[in-house]
Amino acid sequence: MKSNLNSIISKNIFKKKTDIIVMLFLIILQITLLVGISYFGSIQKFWNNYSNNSYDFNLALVTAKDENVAESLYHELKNNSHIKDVFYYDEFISFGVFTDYVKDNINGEVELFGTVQNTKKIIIGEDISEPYTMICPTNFLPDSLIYSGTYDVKNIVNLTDKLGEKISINYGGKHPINLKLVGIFDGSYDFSNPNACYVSHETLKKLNDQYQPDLQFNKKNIYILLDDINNANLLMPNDNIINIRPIKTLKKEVGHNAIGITGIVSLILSVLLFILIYALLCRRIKNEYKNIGILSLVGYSKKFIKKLYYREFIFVLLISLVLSNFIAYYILENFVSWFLFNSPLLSLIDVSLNPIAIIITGIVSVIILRMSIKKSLNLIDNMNIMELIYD
Amino acid sequence: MTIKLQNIKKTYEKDGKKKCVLSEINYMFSENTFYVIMGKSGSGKSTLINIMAGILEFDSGEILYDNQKYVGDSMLSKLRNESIGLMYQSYLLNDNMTAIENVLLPLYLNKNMTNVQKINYVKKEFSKLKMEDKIMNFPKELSGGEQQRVALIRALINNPKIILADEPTGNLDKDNERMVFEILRQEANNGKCVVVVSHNPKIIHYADAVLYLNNGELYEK
Ligand SMILES: Nc1ncnc2c1ncn2[C@@H]1O[C@H](COP(=O)(O)OP(=O)(O)O)[C@@H](O)[C@H]1O
Ligand SMILES: [Mg+2]
Repeated sequence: MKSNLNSIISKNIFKKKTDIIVMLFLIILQITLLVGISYFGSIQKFWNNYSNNSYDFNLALVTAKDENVAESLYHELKNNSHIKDVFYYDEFISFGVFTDYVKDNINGEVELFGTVQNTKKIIIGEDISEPYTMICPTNFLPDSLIYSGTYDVKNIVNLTDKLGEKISINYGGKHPINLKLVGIFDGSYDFSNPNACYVSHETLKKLNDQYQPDLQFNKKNIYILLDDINNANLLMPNDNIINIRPIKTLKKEVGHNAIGITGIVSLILSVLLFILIYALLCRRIKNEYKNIGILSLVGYSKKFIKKLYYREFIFVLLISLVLSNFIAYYILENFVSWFLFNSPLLSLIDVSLNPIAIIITGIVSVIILRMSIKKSLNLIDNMNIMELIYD
Repeated sequence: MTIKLQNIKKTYEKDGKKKCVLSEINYMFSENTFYVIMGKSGSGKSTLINIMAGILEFDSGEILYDNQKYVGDSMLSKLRNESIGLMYQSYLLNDNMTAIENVLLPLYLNKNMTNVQKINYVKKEFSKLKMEDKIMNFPKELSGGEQQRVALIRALINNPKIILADEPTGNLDKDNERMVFEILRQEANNGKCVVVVSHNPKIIHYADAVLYLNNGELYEK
């Protein structure tokens, strides 16, 4: 025989069905908060990481006043301690078709950028050193249309096997050449287009001299790699420079609607949950009216009776929090492969459960439960025991 | 324990009209005494007994239990648990609990006994009323007389100094009725203050004092 107060009272006051409905709703709300806030936190971290490390976002174009000062400006920039690399257009960018990787849905096109050593974090192999060597990203996918829908993490090409081998390329789409793949760099550490590989400036210049001898470029335009794009201001004012402009700017707003959607959905769910708990609990209290009255007759205070209801929901709260955290963890582990697999940008995010999300979720759950329970338990305060005795 | 009613006044408001049920009740209920309150239907007997039980609020006046005032739900609940046994015509048992669980309810607030002691104690009280076979029955599985016996065991389980009963035998047959009256008489002999509302003329043989409630006033005859 059950022989303690709690088990006897709980047997009579607790209603498993309503608890399960409340728990399901609570879990949906908690998962929304946990996943939404964690995802938002990951995006912020992702963008901050990029603004700190990124190669592309630290590139700037310096325009000289006229061709006469261009050469002296070039040397002046080379000697500036904030500038890590200075180069002209013909040492900067070109493209080629990686013939081995042309498939039904991939056109094999890769951008070739000229750079110096130590701008990328090499994780397998080594950095570019000799002429005609090349490094490519971990998220490598040779296609010119990756931003318009062909990108899918499943199509990422694993280049590990090709390390140290020569890769055949149609330079500029016309001229067959070979470049030796010497290293693979971390694409997530510093955002890189999945179809961007890097060679030395010398390599790019040699290739362009050989295959694109008529390439026209203005010596007034000098490209620089800064240690931090914000230091571009330190170069001004300078009588020889007309302007300095970043090559790419970070569109930090991508993914930021996550927090707005999470907020709206959570708010709606919170209101629904409040109404649900209030309605269910009021109905239950009315059904239990006689038994609550009996407890009161034999000497249980209303405060004590109310505590029983609170205690029941503390149980519901704890169980739901544990379940939600497990489910949210599982969703976040698979977030990229489920939701971001075709975004070349966001598929690099490391999404994980955020401790702040857990705290906020806990606080929101407690507030909603407390408010709705307190409101429905007013019924107990206002109950007229006389009515149930003589009805 | 004594109950002293001082200028107790109670009015009900229904459809905007005020109805005075108790006007200036003054009475001192003593220990060791079996009181019967009689009066016409609607005269306010139930109102009075529930005011004395601390369940119903009143408009003005004071109630002193052993010359002490009890204010607020927590204090009155504690008083009911420790010192007042209540019985009603409709038994008021929790239908989801077995007979023994119903009786254990008030006892569980008592922290001086272990759970095993409580259960053994309750079982003994059941056997005194020849109810030992019925402890695991639910109220629906008991006759009216048996249910009122469970309610009686529950009312007496904490050995209260006051017993208040509102028509406790209203639904009972003669044998059960006599048993309830005899037990209440016994309690009064043991020093309790017993107050019973009843229409039943037979109760007068058991009572020490018969009170009448009429026109909002309580008087002895
Ligand atoms: N909650 C209430 N609201 C309004 N009137 C009530 C209420 N309870 C009782 N009354 C009225 O008060 C009077 C006394 O009721 P009650 O104490 O039950 O009388 P008795 O028990 O003597 O039959 C009756 O006229 C009844 O209609
Ligand atoms: Mg009555």
